[in-house]
Amino acid sequence: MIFKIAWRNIWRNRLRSWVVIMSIILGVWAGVFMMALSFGMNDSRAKSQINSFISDIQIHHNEFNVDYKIKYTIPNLEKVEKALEANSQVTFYSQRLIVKEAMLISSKTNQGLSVIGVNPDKEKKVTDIYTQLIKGEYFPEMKGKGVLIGKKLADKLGADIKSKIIVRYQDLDGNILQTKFKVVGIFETVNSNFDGNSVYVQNKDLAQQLNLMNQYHEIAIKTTDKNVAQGIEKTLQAQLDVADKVEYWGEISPELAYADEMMGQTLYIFMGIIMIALLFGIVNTMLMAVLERKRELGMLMSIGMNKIKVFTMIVTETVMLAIIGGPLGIVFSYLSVQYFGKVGIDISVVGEGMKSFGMDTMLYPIIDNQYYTPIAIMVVVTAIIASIFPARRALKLKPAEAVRSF
Amino acid sequence: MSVISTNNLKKIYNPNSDIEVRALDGVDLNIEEGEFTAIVGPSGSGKTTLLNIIGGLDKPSEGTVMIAGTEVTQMKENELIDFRLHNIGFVFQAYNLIPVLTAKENVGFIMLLQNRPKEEKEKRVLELLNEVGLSDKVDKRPTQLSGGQQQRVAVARALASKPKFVLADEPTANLDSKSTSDLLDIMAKLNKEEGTTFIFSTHDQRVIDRARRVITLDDGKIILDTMQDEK
Repeated sequence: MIFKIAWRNIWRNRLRSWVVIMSIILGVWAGVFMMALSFGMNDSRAKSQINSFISDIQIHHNEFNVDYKIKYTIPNLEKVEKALEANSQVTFYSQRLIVKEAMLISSKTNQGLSVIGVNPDKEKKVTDIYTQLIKGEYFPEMKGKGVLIGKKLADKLGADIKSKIIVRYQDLDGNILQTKFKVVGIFETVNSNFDGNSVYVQNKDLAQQLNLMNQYHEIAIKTTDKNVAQGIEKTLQAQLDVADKVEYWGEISPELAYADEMMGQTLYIFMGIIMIALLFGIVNTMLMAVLERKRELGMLMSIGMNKIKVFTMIVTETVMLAIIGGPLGIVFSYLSVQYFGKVGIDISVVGEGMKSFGMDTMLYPIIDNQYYTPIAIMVVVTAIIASIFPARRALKLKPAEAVRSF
Repeated sequence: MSVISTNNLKKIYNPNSDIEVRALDGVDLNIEEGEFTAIVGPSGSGKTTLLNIIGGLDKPSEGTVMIAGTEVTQMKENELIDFRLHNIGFVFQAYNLIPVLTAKENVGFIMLLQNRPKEEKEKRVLELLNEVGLSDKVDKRPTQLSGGQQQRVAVARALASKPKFVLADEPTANLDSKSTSDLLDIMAKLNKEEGTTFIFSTHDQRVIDRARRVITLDDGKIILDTMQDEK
């Protein structure tokens, strides 16, 4: 009967109850959708960076990433390649030469530069840099040494297709070398920082200069799915020597891996803040409902309804509002995340700013279904907490006075 | 047999201050089973305070209240709530029905609190609503009933728990003459046929005229206690 009364009580003032329900729906939706946008940003950022230049897994000399000296080529290349060929989850791999501490010399600017030497055909199968050319061609047949530069760098240099750039770097013996490259393509990835300080050349051109024939600093590996990369990394590392260091994308760029974890924790903090705001709204509304029913509550206590039952009735009313609003909020959130997850949200208005963080200008909200259950629990717990103050207030009523109040 | 017995009952508000009010000032009262008693007096004479203390809704400053041999003045709040549930029926001036329940549910509510079996509850609720002349209104909510009908539901509710007595605080104050007359007829009938003890506080001469015992209070003291013939 208490449940029946509580249920009917919440519909005594439909407008007020719907205001509470709507605030729960909007609170849940706002929290979930904001976090889905953030997860979407992370996902987009991770995918873009992995597909553009990181790849799923990389193998280096175990000291290469300490100071990027060009002498640290992969020690057991043949063994590494055999292991990669034998692994069914490795779809492609591409060998790279890397000169991290190069210097770009031009009349307009001198700046540090990363030179990435690739085998054009192999690189196409591992990263999608070839699809991101906005001008020129992806290493066409030509005389001389071609280079792909980022749009940001091109803008800075005032360079265009057929422009020439000079790159200075040290060889194995510490001698300064200077090579002239001809711009054959200009790329634009979602990471404007990368576009501003990295260039692609062909392995053969760089190997000749560095005298590193059939030696490589990096093997970039494409797997069947970026989410299985960590497992493959462990398998490969177990097969290879310690000197051949295998790292998956989360180790190469830890901020990409941590971002999801951090976002998960942020979700709960964010939802907690929304729930606190919601809590005050519910307390206010339920307190009004209690004070409006002073006479009725006084009567109930007079005729013999004990405190536990009065308390339970008020708490039940509040929880019922949450039980209506919470699932509706979650359904609404789920549907909107699904919809916008497919069609995307165009944020090109702030696109340039986003690109400096390595993000795309189309956002696809995404959130793991595992987050919905804790959110539903948070809503109900909030409602229970919110109901305690009004319920305690009801218990403090003196029946003799309350039955005569208006 | 004495249902209610008070001994030197005092209720003092704001004691030892300039605004001290002696709402009850040494009330000794015995009410026997089956009485149909009106407590009358001017406003501020202590009628409601006396009813509240007898009903266990308020505590006296001094004195004792015995109900069917049990002293209630020393009971803790939770014990009092339970005692009221099983021993006292209440009828309020403003009906005070639960607006979201039907007449039948309102009457049966108190039996639910008593955890009575469903069959017993159904039977008694219909009997009581029949007795108060509302057998055709069992599924109506309070807002669909007139003031007189609501008060009759309140009387049925007060009786549902089979209390030792019913306290009615100015039960006819909001009713018109016809409804007052109907309500008094019903209560008189229940008193006569079922032996239910009724104690009213009232200003209403029509109620006073129907009471068999009239206790007059003034300044917290009983100044007159008379028996009168049934009308």
